[in-house]
Amino acid sequence: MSRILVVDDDRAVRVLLKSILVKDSHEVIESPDGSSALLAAREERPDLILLDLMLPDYNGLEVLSGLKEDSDLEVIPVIVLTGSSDRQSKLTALSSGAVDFISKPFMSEEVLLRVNTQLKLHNLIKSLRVAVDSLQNDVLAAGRIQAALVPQSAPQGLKMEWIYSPSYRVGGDIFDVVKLGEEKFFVYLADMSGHGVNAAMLSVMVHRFIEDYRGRIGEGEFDLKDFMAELDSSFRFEKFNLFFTIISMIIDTASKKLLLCNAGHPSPLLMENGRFRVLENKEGLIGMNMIRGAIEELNLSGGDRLILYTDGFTESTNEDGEMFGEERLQDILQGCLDMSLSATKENLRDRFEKFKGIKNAEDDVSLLLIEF
Amino acid sequence: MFKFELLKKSIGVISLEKPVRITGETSASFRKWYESKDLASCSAVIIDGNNIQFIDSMGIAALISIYKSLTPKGSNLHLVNLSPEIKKLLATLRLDRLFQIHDGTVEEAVKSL
Repeated sequence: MSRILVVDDDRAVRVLLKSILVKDSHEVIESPDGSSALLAAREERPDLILLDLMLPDYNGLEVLSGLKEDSDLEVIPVIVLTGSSDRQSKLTALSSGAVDFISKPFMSEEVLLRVNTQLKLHNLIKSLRVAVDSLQNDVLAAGRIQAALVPQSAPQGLKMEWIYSPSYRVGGDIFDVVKLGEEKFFVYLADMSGHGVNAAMLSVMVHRFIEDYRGRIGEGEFDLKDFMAELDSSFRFEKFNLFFTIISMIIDTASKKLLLCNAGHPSPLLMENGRFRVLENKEGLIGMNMIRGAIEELNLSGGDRLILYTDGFTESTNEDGEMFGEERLQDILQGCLDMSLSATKENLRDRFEKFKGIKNAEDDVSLLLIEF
Repeated sequence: MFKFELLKKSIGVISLEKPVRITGETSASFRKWYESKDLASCSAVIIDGNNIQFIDSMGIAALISIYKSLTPKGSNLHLVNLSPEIKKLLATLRLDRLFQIHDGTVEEAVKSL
């Protein structure tokens, strides 16, 4: 049941239209002229307006414009009532925002058909708008969830900086630092497949799994090989038809020892003695029973740096469709060797933003810098 | 957008009619499309990557799903005419150890099966 506003100076027409519409269970309010029509529209908020184009005070088209210019009223569908020979007015009305026209003299079936069709359309559009808003809220919520999972700052005792720009629309990158001991840290950077809510859900589960795993081993030794094997068996692809890639590391800041396992990420960069090395040794993605426990063991020196990133960083494109690329990243990092870690991060971030320009990121952008 | 051909009675060949970026919505359409094709009954599935301009993680997930539907029967997923970028992506993910990636043409891949 909808509320319909009938605007026509001819009382006979109003009575006729009212009887047709009321018989079809619609509620009808009447207006004899333009100004009362605008008032009634504002006060009664009808679901649809039948508007005669020949009114005594305003031209029907002026009333139509008035309705369309009002931000509260412009969504109300308007069907204009026109004289059968008045083709020009019909076209003008349609191009001014009327959704349909009914020619006088009209048949009751035609009136009902056109009114009900427009009401149905209007409801559909309203539902769509609500759904889209709700979806957008969901995506934003997913983004907020993801943002809540990552650390606010590096823990005491670990020199770490990062660039983290989730795009919310696509993909799910998460990272975290877990303190294992006074000078021991577990660090990971993961990239979930999927978009928005899917990716956010998976990232919450992975984050939770890692927390649980850490809790279970307590004071014991964190075995990276065992961790990766458990991760692989707990997140089988068939479970959610989703996979993720991850770099997980154990950093001992006292001995400067690094244990690293790269499952499916682009190769991390290691800066040793002023020169960059790409750490090629890799495992595949998580969830396909491919993890064999290939752990890279490195003994580093003070000042050495490790840079990890997800493909969203290097695959970011500018307006010309050019990719940021691994070479550019290496060049920039090479040039920052004499800067502090935070200055390096700022410099890299600036160069990255300049490169991207106004182009929106299509994927999450994540990069971690660690100094030993 | 997607084309399916059955060669030698049991080899399914998937190709794209024109250049496509398999990402987001398109990945979802791709999944819906191939799910209607009963790929699991094929002795092998060959994907002609000729018109695949780009593939994102959802697209990769779709490939993995196809692969997983074939392996119980001992069949495999073959990929031909992949761009260097996509080959590199599959190598990074180590999916080149699961899928069969061929250099050469679809015909040559079919002949080798």
